[in-house]
Amino acid sequence: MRTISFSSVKGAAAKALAVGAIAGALFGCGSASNDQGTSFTLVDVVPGTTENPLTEVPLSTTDGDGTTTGAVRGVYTLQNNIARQGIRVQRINLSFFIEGSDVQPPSTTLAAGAVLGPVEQTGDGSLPPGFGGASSKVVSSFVVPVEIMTWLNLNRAQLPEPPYTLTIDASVSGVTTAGDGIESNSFATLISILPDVVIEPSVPEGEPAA
Amino acid sequence: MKMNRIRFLASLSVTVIAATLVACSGNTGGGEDNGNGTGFDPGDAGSLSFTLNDADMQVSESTGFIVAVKDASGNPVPDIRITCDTEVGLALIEPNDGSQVTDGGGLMSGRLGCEQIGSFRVGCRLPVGAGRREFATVSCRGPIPNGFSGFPNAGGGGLGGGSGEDPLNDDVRVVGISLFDFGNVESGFGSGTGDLQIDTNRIFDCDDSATTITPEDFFDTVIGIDVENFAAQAVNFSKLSFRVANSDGAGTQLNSAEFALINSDEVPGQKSDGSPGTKRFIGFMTKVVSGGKELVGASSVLPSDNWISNVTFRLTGVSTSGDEVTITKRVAIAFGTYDRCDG
Repeated sequence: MRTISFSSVKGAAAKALAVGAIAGALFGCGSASNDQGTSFTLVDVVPGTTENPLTEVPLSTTDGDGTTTGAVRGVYTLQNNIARQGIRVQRINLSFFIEGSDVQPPSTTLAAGAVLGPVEQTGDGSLPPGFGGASSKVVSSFVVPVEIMTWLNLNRAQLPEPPYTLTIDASVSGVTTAGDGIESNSFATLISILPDVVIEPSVPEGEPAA
Repeated sequence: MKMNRIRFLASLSVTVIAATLVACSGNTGGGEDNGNGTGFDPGDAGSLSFTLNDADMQVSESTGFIVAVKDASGNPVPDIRITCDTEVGLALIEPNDGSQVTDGGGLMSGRLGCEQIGSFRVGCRLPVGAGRREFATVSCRGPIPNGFSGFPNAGGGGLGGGSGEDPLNDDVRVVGISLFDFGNVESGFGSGTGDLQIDTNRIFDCDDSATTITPEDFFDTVIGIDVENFAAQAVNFSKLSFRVANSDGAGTQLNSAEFALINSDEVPGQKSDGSPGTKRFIGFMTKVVSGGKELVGASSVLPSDNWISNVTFRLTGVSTSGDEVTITKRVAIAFGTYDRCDG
């Protein structure tokens, strides 16, 4: 019969405690992955407006200097599914992909502001009644900000000849009312980039234009 | 040795647990986001450069310029549209429509010409969405050579004003040009036919009598400029200048100095019924001298030959809000000997 000493038990317990503590620290804080958007959902991303979605935009325009930036606006629909905790939205994270291109547009983030109320206030939550309002909100921002349009324009020689499809992959990050950082699921949408140097059929002199 | 290891692991555990408790304490004051360094810097996307061959010229001279576009790696960007414009006084000879695309080397070349004495800005930009623009200054020295008539078909002249467009210059416009005799007692100031003719040669005796001499009416010529104002504010015009493309029938251009109007006044803003404010401004164009007439600013008498010339009139004023407003109108005027013995 094997004798187990007290010191060896203490050592094993200490090892287990250390491993458990480190693991708990790494996976704790309630910051379990929200890849699927279970707690905080990016429900929809629409380039343009909800009433007038955009599917195609020119790479650039000559007209409109001083009145427009060339950026593509968009609408983000966000949903908080956490009971008794609100979410303060902070940033929209954007990455881009162009099929067949050797280089890809850089990722970027945009400031965004919205407070999503908890999905329910029942139970022993510490939030005051009515905190944050609706748990689902629409945030208007950009899906292709002007910095990325600038990059697409200036690096056009490295990109496919327009028209091409630009995939926009978005997620939204924020902070819960408990102070924990949280990031939504990612949501992909598409937009077609059209050529800006237009080649129209020429009209012979003296003939009316079509 | 073993006890030391146990103590180390135990203390590590306590430290980690304590740190975890602090970090997960639900402090609602956390989560500030200063945003620094998180977004893409558009300055890294690429570049636009503007190179002027000669920034100091005499009026009538021209110079070339190069616009270069490079991407994030420093490689040239072909087939991207460049748009350029200049301030009034600096002609955009090429591209005269203000726009061209870069060649395979990412370059666009152009040419500027000095039309007036002064210092003028030229600016070029990438299309909307590309977010790059560059400016340069060109100094144009005098004197203006005799016979210099500008750069035909050149563009430019729209730069400045501090905004993408100057609504005042669109809302205030010249709608009519008339010529009258100044000091004609019979017809009175500002009356007459208004025809765009200038009688350059006086008939000294209009009647057939050998005993009397009845000279033809021959007076200084004044110009009437009818202005409409659709802007919401009044504009006070005080100065006039003109350019006669062919001032002597032989192709000599004359640029008058800027001089005061006879009736410096304001044209009121748009009325409540939507109709424009209107005003006729009067200024001198010729004066009677011995042997005929001289254009204001000229030193020689107009010849008696018959010819027609384009004349560009330029009114300068200030709006109620303090913005300078300049409006121009070009008409063709007939010069020559006209029989005005009948008035």
